[in-house]
Order: sequence, then structure tokens, then C-alpha cells
Amino acid sequence: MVAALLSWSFLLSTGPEAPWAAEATKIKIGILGPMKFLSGEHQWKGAALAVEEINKAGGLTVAGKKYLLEAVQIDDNSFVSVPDAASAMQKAATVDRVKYVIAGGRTEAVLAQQEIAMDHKVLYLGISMSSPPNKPILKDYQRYKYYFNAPNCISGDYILHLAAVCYPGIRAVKEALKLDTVKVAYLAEKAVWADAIYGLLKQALPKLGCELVGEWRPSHLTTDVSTELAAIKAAGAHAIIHIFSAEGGTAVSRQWGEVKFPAALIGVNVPAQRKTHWDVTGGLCNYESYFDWQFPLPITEKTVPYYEAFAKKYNGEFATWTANTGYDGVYVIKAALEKAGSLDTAALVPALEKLEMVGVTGKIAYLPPDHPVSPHGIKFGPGYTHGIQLQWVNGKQVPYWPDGNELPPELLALGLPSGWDKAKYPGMGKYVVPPWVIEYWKGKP
Amino acid sequence: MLGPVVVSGLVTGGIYSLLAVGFALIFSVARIINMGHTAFYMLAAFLVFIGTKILHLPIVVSAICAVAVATLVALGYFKGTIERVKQHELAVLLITIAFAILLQEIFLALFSARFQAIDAFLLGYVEFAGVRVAYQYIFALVTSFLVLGVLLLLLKSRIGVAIRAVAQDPEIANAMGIDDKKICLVVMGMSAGLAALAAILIAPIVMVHPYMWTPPLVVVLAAVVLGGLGSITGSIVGAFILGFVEVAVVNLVPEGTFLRGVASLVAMIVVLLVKPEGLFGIVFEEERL
Repeated sequence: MVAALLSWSFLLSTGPEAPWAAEATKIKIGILGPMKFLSGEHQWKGAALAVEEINKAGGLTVAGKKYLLEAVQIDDNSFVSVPDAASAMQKAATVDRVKYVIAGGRTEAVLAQQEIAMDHKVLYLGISMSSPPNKPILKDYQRYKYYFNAPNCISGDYILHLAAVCYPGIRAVKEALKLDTVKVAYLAEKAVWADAIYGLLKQALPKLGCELVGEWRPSHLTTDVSTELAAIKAAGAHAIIHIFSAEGGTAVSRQWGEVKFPAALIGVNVPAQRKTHWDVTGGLCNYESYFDWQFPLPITEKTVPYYEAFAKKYNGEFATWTANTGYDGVYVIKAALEKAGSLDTAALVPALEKLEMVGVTGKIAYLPPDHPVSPHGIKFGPGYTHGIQLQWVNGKQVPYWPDGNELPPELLALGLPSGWDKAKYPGMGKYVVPPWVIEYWKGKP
Repeated sequence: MLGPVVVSGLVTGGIYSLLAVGFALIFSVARIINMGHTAFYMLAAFLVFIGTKILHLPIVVSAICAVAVATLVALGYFKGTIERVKQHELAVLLITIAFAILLQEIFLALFSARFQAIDAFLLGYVEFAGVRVAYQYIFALVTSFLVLGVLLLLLKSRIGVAIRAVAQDPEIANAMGIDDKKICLVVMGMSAGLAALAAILIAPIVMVHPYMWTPPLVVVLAAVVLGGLGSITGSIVGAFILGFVEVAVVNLVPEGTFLRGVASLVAMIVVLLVKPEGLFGIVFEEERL
């Protein structure tokens, strides 16, 4: 009898006729990320800001009915444990019963979460910078069509973009040191997305007059790269391309600056995007150059207001790229819901495939599902989503690329879109080669 | 290539040895495998961070307070938990791991997983054999050697003789009038103090975060087993071997840098296959310490 009652109450609680079905006027969006890390924390903060803005403006209308949004935070611990990330997606789909998620953080975690999301037909905006999660769409569209890259997350060969943004800095090193060939070391966290970048750098760098002297791949949570730096110095590198999405990047900045390492540090370092990076490294990140998806420049009409709103809501905090991913991700889901006129995730797929909307970093649009490299990837280039290269100089973050110049034909030939000479923004600075690098190489062959 | 390997290997090994000695000491004397050993390293690092960055105390004051607090916590932890279940090895193992995880979760709740930084005692660098070594590293290395030297001298003093007696045979030592419980407590304090000191020396170089206790724990375990469980000399030698192995991996297999920890473990397995008791292992109880 008791068992029967329990079963009945369970059915009531999980079935569509549950007493709280009246709350269906709220649409839940799952925000899954490593919430104890900057990446997840900002992903959540950006999404929460977008939800607040949308609800304050009256919510959204789907098929003539008004809805409000609700962001559901789930810590997936993806930076530490892929199994935890998979469990978090299971929870999102079965316990929280969300049908739309912005999740990931690392490709490894996205791959684990993706299968669960597809099983439950959950619309998954994945935070991954490489194409393995996109590729299954080509093989089994019906199963994997619910996977799209989250805003900012360009993938596949388009990750070449990240390699391209290092070009102006490398060119400056070449000119300042009067070199025929710039020796470049690759120092990157051991992660799938960084593997993809390395593959592309191997193709691109020789064409740009550079020699890749080696690849050093510490853990993404490394706290000490002094040994790697010693080996890179022995290899005679003039520049280091560093690729770090996790906190290990802080150690790189700090230890590089501590010994005034005689190679310019240019690359992607998510911790460097924080305003507090200068203080955390005790100013040792001076002259470090890093990539960001955004900066308070008038890239679109949404960029500067977004920065101001984020800082206002979070006590002056400076939004990093995952904040923007969460923020634009919520707006993408809203636009798709409204365009589809349905809450059904299958109906949202064609709506997203045809989506064109203005985001914080440019126009957001998706690559077609039959794209050979990155189906459902984010379209990038001048006018669309693109990144900015910055440099820490005397406590300030100085943006210096796009610099109003077209990329060299060698890079365009690799598949990069052209038209960068039209991407001009006010307030751009110039890359400065660290003075100690110039000093060290003076008179050396 | 040789220059960077020698310089980096010495620095890495010196730092590992400070942690390994504390672990070996408490194992030799109290016969406990303290899996929470590096948690004291983390605790002290966070205490220095709190002292310098939140309370704005001078770094020296923060460092002294951190060693004192970490030692006191260790004494309380030993007296309140380990001593009660010392005879049950599995219980000790579980309690020590639980303690470390508890500390990790406390710091996660307080500071999230963001890396925090402590200012270095000394800024700047010096170049040896083509390697730029930060002064803080030199400071850490020299201090490690000094502390290890003092420790080895201490083991020859009156209290040192008592420690060695308990390490060799606690029952006989007890019969000779040595309070083995008190000695174990003293050694626990010394062991935690060494871990805290390592944190003060290393934390300004690496970063402070709630997971910082796990990577050195693996290395410490490997160093102590490699050197021979229970041997102080062995743990120092083991730490240097692992330091050099890690540095060699970074230099010889740069694309496999993330495997440096694994390489240490492989080195340990190889030595154990050839010499199961470790390099300076205890075959007879009389050889302890």
C-alpha cells in the first residue's frame, strides 16, 4: 500500500500534470560550468545578467504566450573531473528537467556531456574551442542536431583565428629584434582545443617566417612552469605562444615576469582577462599579450552597455569571455524560442540554423549543418564574432588588434576570412615588445 | 641542455625533499602514513595569503604565524584523532585523507578555486648555466638545505636520540623511560612545521589554491617509497631523483610535460622492482632514521 502510494506520488511529481505545472510560464535554462573557477563563475554571472534584463523587459513571447526565463546553476566541476561534468548534465536533464543548456568549459567535458544531452534532446550550446563535438552532426544529424557552439566558441579550422591574433605580436618581435626567422615556442595546457591550435600553428608559422622550436604541454592546472621556461630558454625562443584557459595561466604570467624571460609572451590566457590579473601577479604580467573575445570597445551597439551593466551588477567586476558566452547564449536561446514559436527543442534547431542577431562581439550566426569542419559552429570574421588581442602595459589592458590592417595572404590562404582592414575601432593601441627581450637579444645572432 | 637539467633538478628536488622528510619522519616514528601531510602545506600557504593579502601583515609575521598555526592544528589533529586510532592503519589512512579533503573544501568555500598569489620574499633572478632562476627559488633551496641540516643535527641531540629510539622500538624506548606518545606528538609537530615551511618557501613561486595539496602528495609518496619508507636520507635522495626525473621529462619530452608526475611514479616502480625495500629501505628495524 505504502509502495503504491509512493509510486503514485512519484508519478505525480514527475508527470506533466504535476501540481506545479502552473509554473510552466518560466522557461529554465541550465548553466553548467566549473562554478568554483573563474570560467564557470563568469559564465553564470553573464547568463544571470541576461536573464535579469530579459525578465525586466517583460520576458519573451513564444507562440503568443508570455514567458519569463529562469537560469539554473549547476556546478559541473568540468575543470577537475569529466565524470562530474557528465553527471551534472544527467542531473540537468533528469532532475532539473532543463531543455536548453549552456555548458562545457573544456572540450573533454563537452564530449562527455553531449551524449547525455542528445539522449534527452536537450538543446546544447557547448563551450568548446575545437571541432570534435561538431563533427558527429555530419554523421548523424537527427541525433546530434541539438548541438551548437555557444557564442564566442568558434571551433575547427576556425580556431586558426586564435593563431592569427598572435601574428601582429610575432611580427613586432621580428621587426624589433631584426630577425629573419622568429623562433617560437608553444607552451599550452594539455587539452584538446590546444592540440588543435598547435596543429594549425605548425602549418601557419613557417609561412610567416617563424620556426617552431618546440611544444611544452603542462597540465591545465599547473602551478609551476619554471622547468618548462628553462627548457624554452635553452631552445632559444624569441617568443612564446601560450595557450591557457584554466588557472595554470596565472602561474605562467607570474613566472615569466619574475625572471624577465627573454621571449615575448603572446597568446591566449583566460586568467589574464581579469582586471585583477595585474594584482594577482604582482605586476609581473607586464607586457604579456593575450586574447579576449571582448573589450569595452564599440564593436556592436551592445558591447559597451553590456560591460557597464556587468560591472554595475557585480561590484565593478570586469567580464571575462565566458561571461559573454553566458550572456549572449541566453539571448541566442531567447531569439530561437521566439523565432521557432515553440518550446520544442527540435523546432529550435532550424531557427538557430537561420539565426542572425547582434551580440556583444559581433553578429552571431551559425555555420550550416553540412559544413565540413565545424557544423553548427559559430561564424566568425570581420562583422561577425571575432576576438581582440590585448596587452598588459603598466597596469592597463591595451587592445591592439584588429589594427585596421588586412592579414597577410599566407594566413588568408589557410582559410581565414578577409576584410580585417575594415575592422577598425577607436581606442586601439600598439603592441610593445618587452624591453628586456630587446635588451637580451641585442647583438645576439 | 645539461645546465637547465642540473639547475632545475636541484631546485625541484630541494623543495620536494623538504616535504618528503616531514612525511618520512612521522612514518618512521609514529608508524602512520599521513595522507594529510601536504594539507598542512596548503593550510600554511593560505594562512600566509590571509595574513599578507587580507590582514595586510608583513610577510615575515604572516609566515611565522602560519608555521605556528599549522603546527598547532597538526598537534590537535594528532591528539584528537590519529592517536586514538593509531593501531588501525586503515582508519588512520582514511582520517588523514578526510582531513585533507575537509581543509580543501573549507578553502574552496572561502576562496573558490581561483589561484591566489603570495608576494615573494625576494624579487629578481640570477642566471646559472643559461637558466634564469628567481631569487625566491634560491632562497627556497638554501633554506631547505639549512633546515634539513639542522634536522639531521637535531636527530643527534638528546631529543633526537629519543626520537630515534622510539623509531627503532617504541616499547623498549618506553621501558627506558621515554614517553613515546609525547615523542610522536613532537614529531607530528615537526613534520607539520616542515610542511608549513615548505609552503612559505614555495607558495610565492607557485600559486595558492585549494587543490594545491594533491600534486605534491603524489611526489612525496613516490619519493619516500623510492628512498625507502622510514629512511630520512632515503626520502631526501628520493626527492632529488624525482626532481631530476621530472626536469628530464620536461627537457627531453616537452610535448609530454603533463606526464612529469607519471614519470616520477614510473621511476619509483622501476626502483621498487629492483630493490623492493627502496634505495635506503629498512630491512632491519634498527636501521630506522
